[in-house]
Amino acid sequence: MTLAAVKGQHRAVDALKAALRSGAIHHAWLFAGPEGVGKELAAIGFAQALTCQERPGEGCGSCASCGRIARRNHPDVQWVMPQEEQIARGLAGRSDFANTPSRDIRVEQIRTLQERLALRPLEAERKVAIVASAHRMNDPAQNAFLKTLEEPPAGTVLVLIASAPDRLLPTIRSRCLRVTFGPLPVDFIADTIQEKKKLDRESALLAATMAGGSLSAALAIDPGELTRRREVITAFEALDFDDARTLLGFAEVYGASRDDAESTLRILDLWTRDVAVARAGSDLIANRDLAAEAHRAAARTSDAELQWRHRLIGEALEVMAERNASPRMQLEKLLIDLARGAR
Amino acid sequence: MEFKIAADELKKALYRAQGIVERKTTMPILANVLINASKSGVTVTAFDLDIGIVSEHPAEVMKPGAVTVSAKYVFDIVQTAPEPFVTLKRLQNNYVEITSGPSHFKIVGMAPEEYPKLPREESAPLVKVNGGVLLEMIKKTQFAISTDETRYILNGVYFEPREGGKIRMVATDGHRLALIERELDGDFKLKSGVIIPRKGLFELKRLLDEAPDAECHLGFAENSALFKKPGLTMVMRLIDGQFPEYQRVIPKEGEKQVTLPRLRFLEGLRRIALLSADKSNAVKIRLGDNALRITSHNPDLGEARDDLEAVYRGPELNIGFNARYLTDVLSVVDADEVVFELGDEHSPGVLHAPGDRSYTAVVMPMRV
Repeated sequence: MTLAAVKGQHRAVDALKAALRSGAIHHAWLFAGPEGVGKELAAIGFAQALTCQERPGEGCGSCASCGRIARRNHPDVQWVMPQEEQIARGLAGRSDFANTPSRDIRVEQIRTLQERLALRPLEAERKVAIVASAHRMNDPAQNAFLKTLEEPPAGTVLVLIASAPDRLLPTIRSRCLRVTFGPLPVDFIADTIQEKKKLDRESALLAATMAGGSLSAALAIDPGELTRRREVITAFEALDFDDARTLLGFAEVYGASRDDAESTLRILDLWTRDVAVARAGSDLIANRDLAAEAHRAAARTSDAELQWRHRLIGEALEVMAERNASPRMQLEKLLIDLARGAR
Repeated sequence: MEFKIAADELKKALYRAQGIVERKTTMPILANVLINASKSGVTVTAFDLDIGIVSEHPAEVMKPGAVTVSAKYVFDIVQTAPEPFVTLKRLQNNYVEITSGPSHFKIVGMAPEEYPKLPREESAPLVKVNGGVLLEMIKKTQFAISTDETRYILNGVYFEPREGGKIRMVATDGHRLALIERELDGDFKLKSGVIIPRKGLFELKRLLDEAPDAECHLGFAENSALFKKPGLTMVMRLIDGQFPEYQRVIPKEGEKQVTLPRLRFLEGLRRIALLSADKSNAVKIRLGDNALRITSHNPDLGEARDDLEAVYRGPELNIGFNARYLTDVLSVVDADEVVFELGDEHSPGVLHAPGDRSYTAVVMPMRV
């Protein structure tokens, strides 16, 4: 695993390689782009290139040092992430934390990092800190981190990974060199998941399109999800917005759990996009198998309606992610708001 | 790797490791201990990126080798072992088999190559040091270490070799400074001073407190300090950077000097600080003809004063201090009397024992 392992991100990788070749490495980097497009892989490759002694400036990917960086076991390459993410990745257990694990990166974590960055490197010539989900740093954490960005200890390279870079303070963003990661090509994702998940070509393409350029999202889609998607869209298009019972029934069935509701919202969001695409006369429809249905829906829905729907879904998703909203109620609220607009 | 060891012996090592290994880390290997078996016995290493401890244990080693395993689980297993001896054996794929009488465990481990490489003794010339003197030096400086993470250079004690085999330790947080110079015979082969972080220093103090008379050695590698006492080695990572030029803040001999009974001064400050405003511990000191008066004034509570007799002749001086900064020093000076040197109300105060500046503390005044 080196920078060469990062696929479909030529611009980003070339920028990193150019910096490595020049030898003048900026001390702070912001890897910005959607989830699951290779930012973290690039951060690992970059850290390897910065510390590898076999092939300095490139990273060999096979020496003990490179291997340990890839497995997050290198003492001079530190990782910071929210506690909840540590649990989700199996790095810690819920019982390892005294309080409810935080979804944010907290100021204590930044302080610990600062204390560690102050130390002389143990094995490498440089120290690297990778802040995964940097946009999850809360305000005190960001303010504390600013100090390190302003006056980093000698030989330190900081890599901030963010899928929502706008949540970072402008003062943080302005001190980082930004490397933008774009969505991955559909064909590349389809090829990868076809092989990894042993899917047929059509399902692989469908999942790849639906994932919106994110490999991790494509990998997370299970084939059952594809069937469910069809169900959700069909049921949604069949809704009678004048009959509140059908609306509440939909919310009950498709918003039973948090995961269900989030998935339903994402399906509807993508579907809304597809209908808009169909209205624009394009055939770049993500739900490829429902293209005909999308065109039919396009004929009976106005642009304004679609825009409004897209906004409401986005709000509902945000409320679910940020607060502990009841999933079913969020769906109900969305549908009732939609019904008001339909009238 | 295969060896047989007394369960109590291994338990002792793993118990110490519990205090060091991290479980909520992003680095999986840090939750593990490194167990290394060689002809001379078994070593157990625990490391948290700041400090590492390597302990040595007698064992019957059948086959040398190494492995890393979860410190917590192996400790729990060894603690409940049914027999007084346990056998550890590395199997394929870094599994470790732990056997004690009728009970068998097969535990997932990781390759020893994954474990961080701590500096080895060969890279750090070890010097035999007097543990008591080292302990004294730590106790007399550590309170002045800065706790402000953003000024990381000050988050430790500066350890500086001086002429004639003397070592100087200096700590400062920008408001006060403590400096001690003692003889620690031997050449540490240091080109310049190094900064030992607070955490490492506290751990070192604990080890010295445990057995003050044990034979101990200290040495420095490129990135760490090594401390060794029989059966145990501790590694403390050093802070990267240049310690400020502390000499500049130590005033030349103060124009006003007063010699005070140490305990009496200490107690007076503690009493008067009772009424000073919450965090600042501010007290006022008035130095006049043969008298030193400590006062504090708190609009919510009231006021207090304490008078000390002092040998002083000269112009009157009114100056404010954080009482805590003075009491921290006064409580560790080993003399019945202390000399308090002052300039004007904006100049720092200096404390040291009469006729002995090998331990000197500088305290910045505050506006009261």
